[in-house]
Amino acid sequence: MRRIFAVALGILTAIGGFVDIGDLVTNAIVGSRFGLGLAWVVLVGVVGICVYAQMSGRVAAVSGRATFEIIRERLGPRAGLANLGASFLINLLTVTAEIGGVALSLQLATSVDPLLWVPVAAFGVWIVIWRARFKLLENVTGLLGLTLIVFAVALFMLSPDWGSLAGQALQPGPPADEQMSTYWFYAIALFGAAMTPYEVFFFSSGAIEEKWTEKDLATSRANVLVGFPLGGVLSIAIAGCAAVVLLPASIDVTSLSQVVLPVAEAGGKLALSFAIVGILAATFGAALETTLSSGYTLAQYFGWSWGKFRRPAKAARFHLAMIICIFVAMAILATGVDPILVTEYSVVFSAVALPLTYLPILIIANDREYMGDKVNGRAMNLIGSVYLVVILVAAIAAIPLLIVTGAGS
Amino acid sequence: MILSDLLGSEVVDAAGHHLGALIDVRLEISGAPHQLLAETVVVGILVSPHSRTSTWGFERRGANAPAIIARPQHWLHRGMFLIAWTDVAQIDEGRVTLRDGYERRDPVLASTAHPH
Amino acid sequence: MPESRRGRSKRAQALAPLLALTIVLSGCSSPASTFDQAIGQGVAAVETARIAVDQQLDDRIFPTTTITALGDARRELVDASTSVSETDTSTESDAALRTDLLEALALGVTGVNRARDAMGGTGSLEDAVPALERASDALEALEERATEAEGARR
Repeated sequence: MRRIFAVALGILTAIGGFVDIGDLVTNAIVGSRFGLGLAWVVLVGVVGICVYAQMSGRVAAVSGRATFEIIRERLGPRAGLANLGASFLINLLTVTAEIGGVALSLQLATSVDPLLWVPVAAFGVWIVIWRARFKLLENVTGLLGLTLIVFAVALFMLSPDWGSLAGQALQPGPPADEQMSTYWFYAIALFGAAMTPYEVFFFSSGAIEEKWTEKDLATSRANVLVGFPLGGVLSIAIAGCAAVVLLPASIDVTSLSQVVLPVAEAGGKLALSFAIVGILAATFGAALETTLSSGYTLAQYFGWSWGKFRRPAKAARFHLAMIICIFVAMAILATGVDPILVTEYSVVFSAVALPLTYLPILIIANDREYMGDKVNGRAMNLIGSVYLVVILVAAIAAIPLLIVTGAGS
Repeated sequence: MILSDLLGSEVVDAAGHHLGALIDVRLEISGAPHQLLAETVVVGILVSPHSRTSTWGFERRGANAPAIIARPQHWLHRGMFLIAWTDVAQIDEGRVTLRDGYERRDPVLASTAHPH
Repeated sequence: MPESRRGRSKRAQALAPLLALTIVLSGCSSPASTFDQAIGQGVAAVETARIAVDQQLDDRIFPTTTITALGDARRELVDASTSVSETDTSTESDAALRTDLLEALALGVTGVNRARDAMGGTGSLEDAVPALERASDALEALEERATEAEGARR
């Protein structure tokens, strides 16, 4: 019974944890411009994150080593450091986007300028990381994030023309007024948002925080294989809402307030309050996860003691690094830069960074010295290799498309 | 000197002919446990004629999966060989000189030993 | 080691023109594309404001969210007017389009401001509706005009 409860809780938190500011914003933008014409990318991304998240969870549980310890060992010091630098900077950009997202969702609830909320959001992230237990912070934000299901409910309440939505999804390609390059730019952004590398750092470090053993693998696999696809459904629902309400009104999404308008249209204040709570929880949860991820990556690379299971004084550098990251994120946001813009860049650069994370995981998952007989099977290697190619293509194409399309404008 | 200073060094024979790049140093745990770590002994250096990049662990026996990474890795490090530490004559910054009559050994490591 | 350093600086030299090209490419854009973009931006902002105001009149949305949506819409309108104002034109028709576009965007700002004021207790929200409709009509007319002009150019 307790087992079933644990699995259910894990799945629920995985659903809520899948969606972050990147998924919210990118799906809404894509929905408002391309309808469901890019829904297939979410599908591809969800399968990819399932493959690699469970692979990294298995590596962590069997070898007892987190992603960046492995990256350092296998890539050598120089390539490892370059990988760390790139992964860390992009993760920092994501921290900034998430804290900005918290401020924006607080603005929706209060109409107070997000700049004033930024320090509050940053302090909140810090105090929770400093004080709260790992399991608790994961479960609370994950469960509250589940209220985002209101987007799926809203889509039904809007009683859209399902035939035309299905038509958009099944006949991918840009509408007449959009360019092919813009379409592919957003395809990559959406892919980056779905497969954000921090989820893997967090997942594998979390496995060690919670002292997983091989016995916990079944639970973790269930969490991933059920939770992430349902999170993907939520993502598509967000795009669907935008496609039904905003696309016909020629509204290209540029702000978070537009993302929630379809929900208010469908379900009024009650639905809207669910959406705002959900967005707040999802962005706050992701802010915690990305901040922890930046601490994890640094600490694991440099061999500092790390982990929420240690008291902060026992992992001083780990905590100090995170405090500095939060400050940097705050400083970036204090310049008045639009957090939505930061988000758009963060998902594109996440796509660039994907091979940096996923290549080492694929390598180590095949290493008998670490994994014993728990190495990847042929099928897992086949799909892992296919995704490695997809990831590489996306990573290489991302920056040129960013330039050619003027960041999708 | 620490090990990472050695990585990437050019490896030459006694006459100064270029042989390749030092891509890894192979250590062996000799077994005697000490306070923190077991005693380790330097076995030799791995020299790759064509590439200065890390082997990512693919120099070991049976490390051939997934093919998409293993194949390019093996190609990149084709002709790789192991030089016993006793065959190393001199180490300068960025340059390792071998003794006359050094022996090119099989780089493939039985998968039980630890390569680092 | 020195060999590799030389290799690296060579690579940097090869990258420099590429970088310059991207800066040039992203820096220059024609008036037509700037106007197209500004019209799209203006339409999106005005329509957002209209939806938010309608929902507010229906009591389907929190006032805080309405105020936020209106503020975001206004920022977009002002941003669009700035980029249009800063565009040089080389033909009479482009210059005329610029003037009319700025007027339409200003109409939008007026409508949004009226709605924001009403949310703050000054004036009534119903009055903002016709103002926003006028802006919407003006922008739609410009959208058609821009499409025709593009067709004529081809």
